[in-house]
Parts: sequence; structure tokens; C-alpha cells
Amino acid sequence: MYFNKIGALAFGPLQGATLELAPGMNVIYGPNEAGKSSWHAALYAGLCGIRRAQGNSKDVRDFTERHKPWDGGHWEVNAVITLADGRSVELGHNLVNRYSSVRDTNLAGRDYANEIMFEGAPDGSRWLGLNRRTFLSTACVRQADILGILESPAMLQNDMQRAAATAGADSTAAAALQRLDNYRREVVGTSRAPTKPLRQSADEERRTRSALEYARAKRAQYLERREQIDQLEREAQDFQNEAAAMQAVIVETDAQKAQERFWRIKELDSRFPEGTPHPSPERDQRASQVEAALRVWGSLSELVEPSGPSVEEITRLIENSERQLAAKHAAVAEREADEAKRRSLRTTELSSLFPDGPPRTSTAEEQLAEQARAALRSFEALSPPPELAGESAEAIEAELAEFDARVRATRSTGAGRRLLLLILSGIAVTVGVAVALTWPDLLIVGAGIIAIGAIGIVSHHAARPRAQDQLVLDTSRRTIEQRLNARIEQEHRYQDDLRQRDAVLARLFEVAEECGQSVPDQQSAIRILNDWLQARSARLREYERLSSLWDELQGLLGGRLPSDIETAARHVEEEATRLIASADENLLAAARAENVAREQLSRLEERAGKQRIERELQRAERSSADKRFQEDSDKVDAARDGLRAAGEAIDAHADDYDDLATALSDWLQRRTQSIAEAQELTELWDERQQLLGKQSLEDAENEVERLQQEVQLHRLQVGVDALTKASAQQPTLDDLNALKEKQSQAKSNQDEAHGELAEFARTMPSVPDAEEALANTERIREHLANLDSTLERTIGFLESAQERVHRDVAPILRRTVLEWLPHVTGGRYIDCRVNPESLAVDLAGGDKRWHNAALLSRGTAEQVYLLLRLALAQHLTREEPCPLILDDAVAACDARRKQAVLDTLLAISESESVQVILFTHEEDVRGWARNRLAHPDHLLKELDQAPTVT
Amino acid sequence: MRILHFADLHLDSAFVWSGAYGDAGGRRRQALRGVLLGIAKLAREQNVDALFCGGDFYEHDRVTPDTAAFLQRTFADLAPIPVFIAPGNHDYYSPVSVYATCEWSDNVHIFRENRLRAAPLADGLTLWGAAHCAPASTGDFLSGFRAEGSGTHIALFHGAERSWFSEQGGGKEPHAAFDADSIRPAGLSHAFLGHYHRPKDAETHTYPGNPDPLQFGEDQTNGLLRGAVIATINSDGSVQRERHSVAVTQVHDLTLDVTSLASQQDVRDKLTGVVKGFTGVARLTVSGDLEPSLDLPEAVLRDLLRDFDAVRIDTGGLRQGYDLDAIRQEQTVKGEFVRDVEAAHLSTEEERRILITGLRALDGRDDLDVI
Repeated sequence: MYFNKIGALAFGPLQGATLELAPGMNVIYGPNEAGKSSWHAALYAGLCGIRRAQGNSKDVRDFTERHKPWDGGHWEVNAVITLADGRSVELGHNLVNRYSSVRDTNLAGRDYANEIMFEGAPDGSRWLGLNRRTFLSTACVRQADILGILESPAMLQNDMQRAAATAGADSTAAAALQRLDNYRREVVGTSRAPTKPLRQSADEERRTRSALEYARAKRAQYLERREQIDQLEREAQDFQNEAAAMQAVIVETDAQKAQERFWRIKELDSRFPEGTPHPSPERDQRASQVEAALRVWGSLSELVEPSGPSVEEITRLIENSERQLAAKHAAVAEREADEAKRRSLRTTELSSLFPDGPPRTSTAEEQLAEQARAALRSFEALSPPPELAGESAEAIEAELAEFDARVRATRSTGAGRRLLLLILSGIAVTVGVAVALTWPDLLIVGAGIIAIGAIGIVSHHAARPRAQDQLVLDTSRRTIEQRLNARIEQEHRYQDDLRQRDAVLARLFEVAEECGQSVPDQQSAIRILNDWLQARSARLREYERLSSLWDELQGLLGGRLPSDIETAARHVEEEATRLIASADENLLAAARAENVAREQLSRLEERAGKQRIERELQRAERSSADKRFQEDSDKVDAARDGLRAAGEAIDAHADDYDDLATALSDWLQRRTQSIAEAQELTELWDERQQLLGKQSLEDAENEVERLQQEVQLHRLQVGVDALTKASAQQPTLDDLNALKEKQSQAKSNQDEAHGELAEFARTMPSVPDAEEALANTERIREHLANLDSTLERTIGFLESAQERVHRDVAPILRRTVLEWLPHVTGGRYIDCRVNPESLAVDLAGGDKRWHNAALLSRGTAEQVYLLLRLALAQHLTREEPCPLILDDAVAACDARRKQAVLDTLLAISESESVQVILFTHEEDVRGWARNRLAHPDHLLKELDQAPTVT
Repeated sequence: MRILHFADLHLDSAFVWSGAYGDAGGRRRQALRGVLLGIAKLAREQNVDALFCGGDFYEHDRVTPDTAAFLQRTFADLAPIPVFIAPGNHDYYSPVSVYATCEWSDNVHIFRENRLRAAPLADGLTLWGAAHCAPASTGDFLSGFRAEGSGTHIALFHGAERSWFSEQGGGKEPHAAFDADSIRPAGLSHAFLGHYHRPKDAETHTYPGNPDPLQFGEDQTNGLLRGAVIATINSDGSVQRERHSVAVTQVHDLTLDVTSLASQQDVRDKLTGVVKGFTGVARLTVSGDLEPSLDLPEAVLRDLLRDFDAVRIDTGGLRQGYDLDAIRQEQTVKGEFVRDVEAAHLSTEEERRILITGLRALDGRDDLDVI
């Protein structure tokens, strides 16, 4: 594509102006304020137009402000272009009403508008594969672009990236990715970053979810409590029903009682048709007198006179018995006094025999006697020891030593001879072998010598000691040893017997000497001991006689002193004298004759005591019987007097007291019956009055009716089943009160639970509130999650697109640069490489050393930049060659570099068929153009000072 | 005999569907109470002989003690007008339900069994009602049922009429499903029902519809108002019905076409006109071509709709405004990016978001949270 002409019908300061252009290189020269910028903008607007949409973007507003004619009226531009396929198209844009036309100038004005629409308006850059947003950045190279490269080498790479990303219109892909990443990190964050929204929204969602679970749990608790209250209510209701039933039963019972009471009142009332009964007769004195007389008479017992011995007779019998017993006492005491006197005398006699106390024996003498008897028994038991016979122990020991010596001598001799035989036999065998081996001719001799040696060895073996010989020797030696041991034991026993006999004789002499005499010999010792033992026996007999008398004395004393015995005897005698004096003489004589012992006397006393008691009882009973008889006689008399007096009181008379009593009783019975009848009537009347109380009969009847109605009411309220159940319990008022107390307690519990539930409900969180809060947090979290997903996927797509585009662009850039590089650098650089990731460009010369293109000399960098822009434009515009528009692009170059750049641009234009449009105000550029640009392929257009070109 | 019939009030339900949260949800629930008060007022004004509730009166899992007290007071104030309630699957009868634990006034009659039981309405007119006793698995109340006794018999229960089920849309379960054809054979002249939120006046049965909106997009069905039905029951069992709207909550479906809107001010101006005079709950559907240069985060729209109790924003109809035909032809990273995204066969919404996000990033923009 190339521009044929631009028509500025009304554009900025341009009015009806036209700019013709050549298809090759065009240099548009003009001083400042000559309208270069306006033509530059008209070129763009003529090709691309402006967007047709409601509202204006900032770009459009800026463009309008800069290029709309100041008069504010018409604003229109058109352009004629030629496409690579040869079509010539005129694009006309009314920029005020945003109407555009795109017509083929050759094909009857064919309208291509729909083919190149972009953002609502035809856009000629669409034929290049660009649009009005990317055309400028792709096709236009400004002075600032080149300055930027020179001032900041990194700009070269950035420009490449931006061009690759958005055809230079906007950000680089890397910056976009960085922006997305930053946004994602800050606005979304990760689930691990606690301060970032995504994590916070997740936390908030968890919190609201917990709040919802809490609210639901609380609600479940509420329902549970509610159920418990229902249970309490049912319990309270049960109590209430039970109490009502009980109340009904009690009312029914009351009604029944009231009915019975009413019936009783009516029955009683029928007994008193005339009203209040007459008063009952009073009891008078006569009735009391008769009643008392009859009571006394009736209480009398039968009068019986006492029989048997009289009191006096019994008294005499007791006194006789006591006198006889006293006489016997005196007789016994008299005899005991005699005995006591005799014992006192004997005591005195025996006491004189033992002035020094009881008879005694010597313990030492007793021990000595025992020793003497033992010594004599030991001596008599002695017998002389038998003499020793046979060989002595020394002789047997000598015999054993001799036997051992003989055995040793025999064994030593035999062993020496056998050793010698063995040595000689060995030598013979050795010699025999040596001869046989050394001299084979003397083999027989050698064999003979070996045989001799062998015989010797066999003999040595045969001559060794045999086991049976050793056994014989051992047996002989053991026999001698046994004899020796037996003899030694016999000699030991003999010595022991001798030592024992000597000890017995020494003890005999020793004891004899202790008996107080010297002992010249063994016989004397025996005699001394026997004599001493006989004398000792005589002393023992005397001792036994005295001991007997001593025992008698002790028996008489009984632990007392002789003086006590004497005193006691005197007292006994005095007592006996007293008893004898008081006893009846005759009876005493008889008692003496009976010779009663003390024991008999005791038994007599015991028997007399019992007899006396019996007789005294008999006497007392007789005395009582006599007294009762007298009293009963008095009562009978009094009762008879009472009967008589009572009879006289009621005018009843009889000869016999029993008849009188009968008459009195009949009278009293009649009298009592009359009173009882009157009393009964009075009691019935009192009962009626008590039953009625303060009520009238009608009142009582009304009460019965009221209670019956109440019963019916209760029956209706309670129900038959409950009533039947309650009736079975036969409740009392106490039962009812207890039940009402339970009912009250249950009601109290229920009210308390109701209060607690109300308080619980007051603080119970709202489930729907919690559900809505959770839904809201879920919505926020979901939004963030979706945003996160969108950003993540966008980053993925963008990274992938960037990688592929860079990979495609990199070889294109390299190819273009390589094609021109040797030419524009004068052969200094011949190779180029482009990093497909970063689009960084490196150059290398003949030395193959790589250099960052942006860091090379300014001239080289400018050239390379132009080449890269050309390459990108060609790549981005695909089949249709893209015009290259340069706005004072070489103004910053020195003369030499400027010329080189211009040469390059011309060469590119010619070889690549690319239209180059260079706006400049520089004289040297105009000069270069005058020299180098030839019409019709190229053009130098010089603008006037005034911006009006025709 | 004139009765007022309503159903499916769903007191204490959550307004998640509306996007409400915080105080807004509470205000909407309070509005539902206002609906009941309106129904009670209508019953008094119309001097009806009875008030029928066909279930889903409240939501068992969410109902509060305060709501229970409110119901008790409201119905007590309505005395002596009798109130008949047939619990549904959302307010099923149980020992811990409000129905069982509240001390109702004498004029309130609650059906407590999952079979039809009789309640005398007037001489010669008997009402048969039943309750759901579980949140699900309640069978056909009419199966094997035959009304006994002389006179006219009508029914009140919560159930799904089978022939109309398919038209109820998603989210509806066929609880206590029955056939309309089985009403007359059961000896019933008419059935007053609840469950379907769409209203219906059939010859043998009546669905009053939910009296207050419970979803976006609820509209009249066959020209019938949702809400309360005043029914006159004749002695021969025929029914004449008048419908009354008792809704308190306003639910609006709004549309904003952003095509050609180049700035937030343009959006503000246009949206202000769209929402003018509306309150309550709104669903804003944003459609049209989104200008590439327009930065329009959702927060901006929510700010403009802040006077509503709750707002949901649907951007499903929004299209990006880039000239993708042109970009797609670029030999740049941008062109490659567009081609890649379009070739990835993403959902329309996802493709739109990724394209706008990537192109904005390449344009050097930071408004990357695409609506």
C-alpha cells in the first residue's frame, strides 16, 4: 500500500489543500509552522478516519482538539491510496458527523467500507492488518523514538516487545503480565496470605458458616428445651387432672355424706311430730338410797366362822419348842467346854517340848549321805580289767613296712630289664633294615636281625606287670592294715578301763575323809562310810517322832497361840455356864441323856426354826380370819339396816331380808326404765339439732342438691376413667392438698423453665440472618475465586501468546537486519541474533564477538533501529507493504549518520517497494533529497511557510 | 359462606435468593409479617366467615419464638373469625412445632394428622383438612379417602397437583402429590390448596399463590393475582373467587443496556432513569456491548442501587466491546491472545472476562476486575 495523495478539505489550518505523494521515498520539507504536523495527522486521518461511537475517548478528544479547524465548522479529509493488488481507493472522512466513504476509484466507485470497519468506522489501515490504534505506532517513526533509543538502550528492546505485543500501540506483554500479576497479588492474593482478600473472604466465609452452625445448634437447643417444657406442662397437667379427679371424688363423698345426714335429720324429725320432747324425769334421793342399799346388799359375801386351833394354842406350842431347844443348847455347850479345856492342857504340854521351834535335819548331811551311798555303789560295781593278749600294734606296723619294701624292690627290677630289652630290640630292627637296604645281597641277614628285634619287642610287651598280680598284693596289704587297726582299738579300750577304776577308788577315799576320819586303806574307807550311814539312820527316826508331836501341836493351835487356846476354852466354859443356868433342869437332864452332838443340834435348830415360822403363820392366819369374820358380821348388820331404811323410804316391807331386797330391786328397775326412755328421746332430739346446726331442714336439703349438682359438674370435667381411678384411691382432703402442692410445684417449675426459655430465645441468633450472611460471604469469596481464576487463565493465555509471537518475530527481525546490516554498517557487522524470549538484539562483526545493538555507536544503533522497525512493520502488515512515515526522524543525527540513514531509507524503499514519507525541516535533508530523489518514483515536496498548499 | 384462603407465606424464610443480608434480610422478614397483617385486615374488611391457610405458613427450621408469638396474637385478634390451618412441608406439624407449642386462641383450628379430618364449618358444610407431619414423604391425602356425611364437603391441605407440576419450574418437589380428578370422587366439592407458588383457579381446586414475592421473575399466571383469595362457597359446592394482592415486598427485574455508554457518568445517568421510583428488591441485568474504555466494576453499580434492600446483578447478557475481528488479525501478542482465548472453547462468560482482562492489561489499564 502506498498513499497517492491526501486531501485536507478542512483539517487544522489546512483548507482545501492536497498533498500528492510518490510510491517510493517522499521527503516533505517545510520550516516550522509550515503544517508538517497537520499533514502528518491528515495522512493518518485520511487513511484511518476516527471511531464512530457514542462518547469520545481521550485519544479522540485530544485529536479533535488539536486538528479540528478553529472555526468549528467543516472538518474533512480524504486520501487516495493504491493497494498491492493494484486497486486504487479513495477514503473520505467527514470528521464532524463521522461519516466515511471508501470507494474504488477505478471500479465504478465500489464501496469497501464494510470490508475495513473498525470500531464503527472504516479504517484503511485494516488492509495492512492494522487498525487506527496500531497504525501510527507501527508505521510512524518519530524523532522521539530514535532519541529514546539513543538515550536509553533498553528502549530498543522495549520497543520491540511493545510492537510485538500490541503493534506498539500499548503496553508490552511483559508489562501486561506484570500488571495482571500485581493485580492478582494485591486484589486477590492467595489462600495463604492472611491480609489479602481471597484469604480474608475464605476466613469470613468460615466465620459465617460457623455462625450459621451455631445458630442452628442454638435453635436445636431451643427446640429441645421447648420439648422439656412440654414435658413439664404435661406433668403439671397430669397433676391438675389428678387433683380435679380427686376433688371430684371428695365432693362426691361430701355429697353422699350430706345426703345421708339429710336423710337422718328427716328420720329424726319424724320422731318428734310435736316438736321438742318433754324433759326426762330427774333422779331422786329414794332411788339413790334404794340403789345404794341394793348395791351393798348385793355385795355381801357368805358369812363363815373360822375353825382349828386358836391363837393361844398355837402360841403355847411355839414356846414349848423353844425351851426344849435351849436345854439342848446348854447340854451341847457344857460338853464343848470340857473338850476345850482338855485341848488347852495338851497344848501347853506339847509346847514345852519345842522351846526352839520345830525339829530340823541337816541338808549337808543329807548330801554327804547321798555321796557316800554313790561311792559305795560305784566301788561295788567295779570289776578287774582283762589282760591284753596277741601281737602288739608295733609288731603289726613293722610287718606292714616290710611288706611294702618287698613289693617296691620287685617292681623296680622288672621295669629296668624290660626297658633294656626294648632298646636292644629297637636297635636290632634298625640294623636289620639298614643291612637289607645297603646290601641287598645280605637281605636274609637283615631280615633275621629284624626278626630278632621283633621278638624282643614282643617279649617286652609280654613281660609287663599283670593286673591279677597287683590284685593279690593289694589284698595282702589290706589284711595287714585291718589287723593293725583292730589291735590299736583294743589297746585304747584297756587304757580307758584302768583310768575309770582309779577314779572310783579316789572318790571312795575322798567321801570317807569328809565323814570326818582319816582313811588308811580301802577297807577302812568302806567301814567308815557304812558306820556313818547307820548313825545317820538313827538320827532320822528320832526326827520323825518329834515331827509327829509337832504336827499334833500345830493341829491343836490351828494357827493360834497357846494363850489364845486357853482364852477360848475359858470363854466356852462361861457360855456353857450361862446356858445351863437359863435352861429348864428337867429338860437339861433329858438333853444330857440324849448326848446330842453339835451337828445334831444344828439340824434341830433348823427344823425348830421352820416349825416356828409355820406356827406363827398359822397363828397370823387364824388371827386374820377372826378379824374378817367380825367385819363381815358388821357389814351384814349394816346392809340389813340399809334395806330396812330403803324399804321404809318407798314403803316396802318384808320379813325376810331377801324378799325385801327383791321388792326394792323391782321398784328400782321400773324407775330406771322410765328414766332411760325419756333420756333416749332427749338424745335423739340433740342429734337432730346437732345435725342441723344452724341450718333449717330446707337449707340442708338445698345443700344436698347443690353438692349433687357440683358432683355432676366435676364428673363432666374429669371424665369417668379418671374418676374411677381416683375413687379407687379413696382420697382424703390431705391427699388432695398434697397433690395440689405437687401441682403448684410443677407449675412453678414450668414457669421457671418458660422464663429461662424466653431468656434463651432472646439471645438466640437468627438462622435466616446467618444463612444470608453466609450466602453473602460465599458470593464475595466466589467472586474473588472467579476473578482469581480469570486472572490466572488470562496470564496463562498471555504468556503463551507472548512466547509464540516472540518466537515468530525473532527470525523475521534477524533476517531483515542481516539483509541490510553489512550495507548500513559498512561491513563492520555481519551477523545478528534475536533472543526469542526478550527480543534483545545482538550484532557481531568478523571477530564473531556479540554486542548489544542498543549499546553500539549512535549511528549503528539508529540504523539497526530503523531496520527493526521496518522488519516489524513488514511482519505486522503481512502481505500489504506498510508505508513508513518518519517525522523529523533524523533530526538528531550528525551529517554523516543522517546521510547514511537517508541512504538506507532510500535503498529500503527501492528494494522493498515500501513507501517512505519523511517530514523534515532540515536543509541538509532537503539537499540530500534534491540530489538523490528522482521523480516519479520519489518525491521532494517543499512546503511553504503558510500552511496552504494547492 | 365466604372464606379467605392464602398459603405459602413462608414467614422467617431467608432471602438469600435476593442477595439480601444484614438488616435488609430482617426488613424483608418483617415485611412478610406485614403481609399477614394485611391478610387479617382484608379478612375483617371482607367480613369473611373463616380464614384458611394452606400450609408453608412459616419455615420450621428458621421460625423464631417471636414469630410464634406474633402469629398467636394476630389470630387471637382475628377472633371470632375461625382460622383453619393445614400445615405443609415447610411448617410440618410435630410436637416441637409452633403449632404444637403455641397457646392458640379458641378460634384457631390446626389440623394435626396426616389424613383428612373433618371440622364443621357451617350447617351442611364440612371442611376436611390434613397436615404434613414430616418435611418430606407425605403421601396423597385423597388416596382412599371418601368424605362422610351429608351436605357439602370441601378440603384444605398442602399438596402438589400432578398435572400442573411440570409447569412449576425447578426447586419444587411433588409433596403430597394428588390428581385433580380425584377430588370429586372423594366426595369433595372443592380443595383449597397450598404448595405451588403460581396461582391457579381450577374448577375443583384453588392455589392462591405466594402472597409476597419469594423469587425474582414471579409474575401473574393466566392473569391471576398472587396472594389472597376470597371464595364464596355455595350450598351446591360451587365456588366464586376474587383475588386480592396483599404483597408488601416489591421485587423488580431491571435491565441496563450499556451499549455506547463510554463513561461511568453515562452509566449513572442511564441507571438513575431505570431505577427511578423503585424500592425493595431488585435484580439488575446488565446487557449490551461494554465499551473497552469503560471501567465499570460491580461496586459502582451496587453503589447506584444502594437504596434497594437487596440487589442481584446479572451480567450474563453483557458483551465485550472490543473489535475482536480487527484484533484477531493482528500479528501481535494481542492478536495471538485473542485467537488463543477464542480457540479454547470457554463458556461465553468466561471468554468474555478473560478477553477483557487480557486486553485491558495489554492496554496498560488497571481495572482488571471485569464485571
